[in-house]
Amino acid sequence: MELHDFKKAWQKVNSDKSQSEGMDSATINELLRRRSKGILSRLDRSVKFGIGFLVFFLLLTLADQFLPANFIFPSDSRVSFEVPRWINLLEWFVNLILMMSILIFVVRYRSLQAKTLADQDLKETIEKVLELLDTFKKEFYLAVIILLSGISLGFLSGANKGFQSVQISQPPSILNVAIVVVAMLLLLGLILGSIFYIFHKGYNHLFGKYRDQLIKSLNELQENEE
Amino acid sequence: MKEDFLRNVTQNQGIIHKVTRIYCDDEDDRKDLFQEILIQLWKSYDKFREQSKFSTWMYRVAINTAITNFKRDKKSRKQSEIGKDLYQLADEPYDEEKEEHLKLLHEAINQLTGIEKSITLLYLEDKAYEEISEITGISQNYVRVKMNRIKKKLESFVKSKERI
Repeated sequence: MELHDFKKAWQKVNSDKSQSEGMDSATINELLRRRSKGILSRLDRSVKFGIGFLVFFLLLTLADQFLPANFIFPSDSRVSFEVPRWINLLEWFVNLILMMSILIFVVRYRSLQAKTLADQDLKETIEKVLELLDTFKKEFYLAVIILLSGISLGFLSGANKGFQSVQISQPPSILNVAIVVVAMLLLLGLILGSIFYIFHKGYNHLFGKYRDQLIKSLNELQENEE
Repeated sequence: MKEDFLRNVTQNQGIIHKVTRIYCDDEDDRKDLFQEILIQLWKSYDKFREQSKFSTWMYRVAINTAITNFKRDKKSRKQSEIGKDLYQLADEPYDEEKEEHLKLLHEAINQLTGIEKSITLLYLEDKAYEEISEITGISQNYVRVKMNRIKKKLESFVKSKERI
């Protein structure tokens, strides 16, 4: 069988199928309205959702900082205790990083022209999809780090409060303090490590293979150009 | 603008069907890819300023979408079952040689990478190297080199099949 036989076979299939596959414009319009399962649309949605989530988290944190303590919860249902200054500073530091990152993500998303990704040269399209994937990855890990920072700060606040109350009622020995601090850090490390591992595995499961596939295609293009 | 778009796409929808046929093995994947291509075409329609032919632009968006589409593993289905209906001719008397050619065509295409499939598709559609280059954005030299490799790959595949 020669290549022109392939051509003939291909043309035959297409002329045969064109009758049965034809859609009218109403059907095509209906397809445009439906939510797509395609990876480009999903990736675009994920990045937008990620930016939305980070903005929401930032607003929530700012509301927590600036609104009066009893704005959301009645004052008598809230157990009040003094948060140490260094924990407050850490919270502000995390917020600052968050604000800067959101700004960077929005600028990067716009510069990628994600809406028209498929209307470029093949190589450019693959490179931009990889960049978009990279943006989403950073967004994803930032969300994980924020979550872990929140858990750590809450854990440290609680531990600090507990330590203060014990000190008032019954001053502990240095050995006991050392044991408690080491145990707390181990527990915190274990919790943070497990959460990070689960999210990391989750991300790789979602997009790891896809990234490999794109890199393979890009390498194929570059190898031939060289 | 949407009416214009729908009219143009409806007239040229064969391009999307051909791209989905060459890139997807089963019906569900083909439907998903068809919809994704439509969406990408609509999103980019603003940018299409009739600098090239509508069909050329459509091939570019469709191929780029197909190549960047994620290929799921089909471990649960036998390779021989995949694409069974894809190249079958309906309502025609059985022609053994023709059916054999179609089967071989399907198997041969499955040996190719995503980029090779795009060049093969355009070759099968009788596109000149110049147009293939315009659609994919890769140099004509590269297209020529790649096409020679594809020909060799297909020939050796056919020979290996004939030996069996």
